[in-house]
Amino acid sequence: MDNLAFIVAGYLITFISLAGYAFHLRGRARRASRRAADLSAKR
Amino acid sequence: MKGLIRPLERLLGRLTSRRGERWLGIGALLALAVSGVLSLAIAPPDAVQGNVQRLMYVHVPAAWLAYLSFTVVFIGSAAYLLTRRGHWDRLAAASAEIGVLFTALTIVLGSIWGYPTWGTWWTWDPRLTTTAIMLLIYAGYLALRRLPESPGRRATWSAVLGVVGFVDIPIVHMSVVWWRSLHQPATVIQPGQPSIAPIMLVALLWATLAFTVLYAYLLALRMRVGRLETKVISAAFLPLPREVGGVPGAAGGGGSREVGGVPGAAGGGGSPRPGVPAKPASRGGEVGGVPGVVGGGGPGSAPEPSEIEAHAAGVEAVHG
Repeated sequence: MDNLAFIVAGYLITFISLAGYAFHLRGRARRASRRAADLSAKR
Repeated sequence: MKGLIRPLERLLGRLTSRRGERWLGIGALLALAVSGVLSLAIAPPDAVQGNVQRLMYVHVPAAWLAYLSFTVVFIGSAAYLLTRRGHWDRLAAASAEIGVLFTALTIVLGSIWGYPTWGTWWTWDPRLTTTAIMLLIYAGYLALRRLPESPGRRATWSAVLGVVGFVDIPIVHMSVVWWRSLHQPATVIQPGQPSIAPIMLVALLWATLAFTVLYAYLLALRMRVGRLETKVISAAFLPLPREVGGVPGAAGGGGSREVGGVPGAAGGGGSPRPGVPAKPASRGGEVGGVPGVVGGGGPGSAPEPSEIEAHAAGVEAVHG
């Protein structure tokens, strides 16, 4: 396959950046949810 | 105009519910898997460029998603200016963040595709330059959202930039028509038949659909983050029941109580001397992504409970 390295790099960058962003958001949501629960438990 | 906003709000509410988010996530995964097979195995290589042209199946959808994201920023910003409802501001903020990611991805993928076909990673071509300007505009938009301002004023400024910045989108799209460009002109959205083989068109359209579902999933997820962080901010402003009306320093602290993953939030600015008012926690006093919210005070500087509740109500009004 010609220019295989470019294709692999392109698809890998796409996959890693999108999956990474999705996991980052999930982590942020989990942390915020925990904080909200902690705060409401204190009340 | 306002009659249009209600149905849009209902649709937005449905899409960004937890159930909607889950289904969008599953749909995005499936659609992307099918897209991978279509673009890497079924679609034939290009007659001139060979296999490297397969980058089109990620580069073009990423560019389309950047346009879509910023169009949603425009809609959210305009709706916020009309209605002053916080969820429109949250929608614009969420979409801008995703749009910046897709724009950066478009530029990187275009560069990777450009090197083997044009012989250069970057050139000051009209399409490339206007896309880079688009990235800068919306990176600036995200920076504006981090300003330590009152939530209402920050939302208004961001909405104005969200409306004005949208002017660049048609310029980016039409740049290959208006100016002499190295970048190829549109192959799908153009007068007459698309100048692309049918099987390639199917793979491209499917990839675009898969990326759009992924965008909807990311948007729903990012909006949930926004909602939760607003909830944390609002909760941080309300005084703890046992502390109100008795113990000084209610709901403030003066230490570095951490809220929303950001140290120093909701506390901040503790005055070392009794009776000296504490400063707002504008430095290091960021709560859940909203900088500069008012912290509490040290001993003897507790704000009145009614004052705290009024501020919390203000945050709620802006952030929905």
